[in-house]
Amino acid sequence: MANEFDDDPGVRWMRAWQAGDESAFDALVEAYSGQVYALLTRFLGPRANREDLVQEVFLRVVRARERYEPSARFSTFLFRIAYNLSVNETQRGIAREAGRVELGGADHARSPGGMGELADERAPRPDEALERDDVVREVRAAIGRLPENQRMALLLAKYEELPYSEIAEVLGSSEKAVKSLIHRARESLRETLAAYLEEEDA
Amino acid sequence: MKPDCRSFRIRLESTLEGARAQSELTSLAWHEHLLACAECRALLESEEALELLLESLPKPHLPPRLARRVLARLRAGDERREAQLDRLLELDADTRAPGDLARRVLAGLEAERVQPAETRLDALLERARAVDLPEGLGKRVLAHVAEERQLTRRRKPVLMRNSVRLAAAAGLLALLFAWAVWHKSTAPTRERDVAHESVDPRMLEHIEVLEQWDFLRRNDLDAVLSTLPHSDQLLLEMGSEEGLLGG
Repeated sequence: MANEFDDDPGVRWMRAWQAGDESAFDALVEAYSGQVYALLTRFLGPRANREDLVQEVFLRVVRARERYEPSARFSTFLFRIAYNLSVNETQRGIAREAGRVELGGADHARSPGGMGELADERAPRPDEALERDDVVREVRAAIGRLPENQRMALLLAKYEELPYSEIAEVLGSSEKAVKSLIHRARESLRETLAAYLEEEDA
Repeated sequence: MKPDCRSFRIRLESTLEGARAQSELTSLAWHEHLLACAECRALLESEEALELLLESLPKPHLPPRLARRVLARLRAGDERREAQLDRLLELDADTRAPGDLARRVLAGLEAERVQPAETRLDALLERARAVDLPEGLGKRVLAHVAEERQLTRRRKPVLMRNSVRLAAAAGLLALLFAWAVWHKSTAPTRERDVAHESVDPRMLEHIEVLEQWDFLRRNDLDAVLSTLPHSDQLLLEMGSEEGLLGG
């Protein structure tokens, strides 16, 4: 069945794979795994299991092989899976953190749910050199403190350049709601990063 | 918020929505409203600075050969499954198990591969939706409804007759009640008057005794009489002579 998204390369590969071309799946992973990994890194922070999550995202694609029907670009479909997995991951992280606080009685002054506090500190930190930069760290922390839906909406708009209609598909909400989410996200960031914004102005 | 500010902010938001680069945002700086409005100027400057900050974040570092590794791990999962199947097939051949065990397990695992848990859950829920209805349920329900209708029709005249009877009874009761109220307000007065005029209070006490006369006569009358005061005994004798007491 012809579809308005048939020109999207991801959709074409999915169609080919559904028709039995196994190499089309390799092409999908080659083309999109980096994008998914980058989104997960921005959303969750530099935690250790990002690669596992990328694998999990594509495993879901494998499972959806038979029933997949494009309703957006392929990347939108992937981001939706990645978002749902990340939210689950964050919830598990909060539960783990709560368990640690309960068991160890450690003083966790950091707010729950943010990506900075969920980062696995034992993980290798490839961006470590860059993170020494205070501004970068502060901006990432401020993004990490945004509520999940605001954070994902902002990241998709800013770094993946998705139109609001596609962000709405990813989040399972309306375009109007996305507009409001991004507005609130920017408002929070302007407030949190006020000191750095003045510097930028200067 | 002034109308000018509102329209400027709408323009700012739509620029932000479509902004692919910070330069697109700076083009707003030429908007004439900004020359007059310090608040909107500050907002634009703040948004520009935020855009700069967000763009200054380094791109996440991608692990080398990420796609290859992800594919390899996905295939390793498949290979593990296939190895399990091979082992089962060998076992099946060795033991000549009845019912083609390996093929059935293979089919199960294949279903697991192509049909994820969510789809299976959907299928289960779909199956749960189909309820086995008892045979002829519809007909029985219709028959019951028809029977109920007939009964209602039959009950209607009876109910109407009963309501006429009830209305008549209520009217009669109301009349009786009215009569009783009237009687109560008049009759006791007359009785009281008669009592005061013709009966001495002491006589009333004796009348109570006399009302038990039949009982007393059947018992030891003399013994009872002897317990009474002499004056009462005289009064009783006089009453008996005047026929006041039943014989």
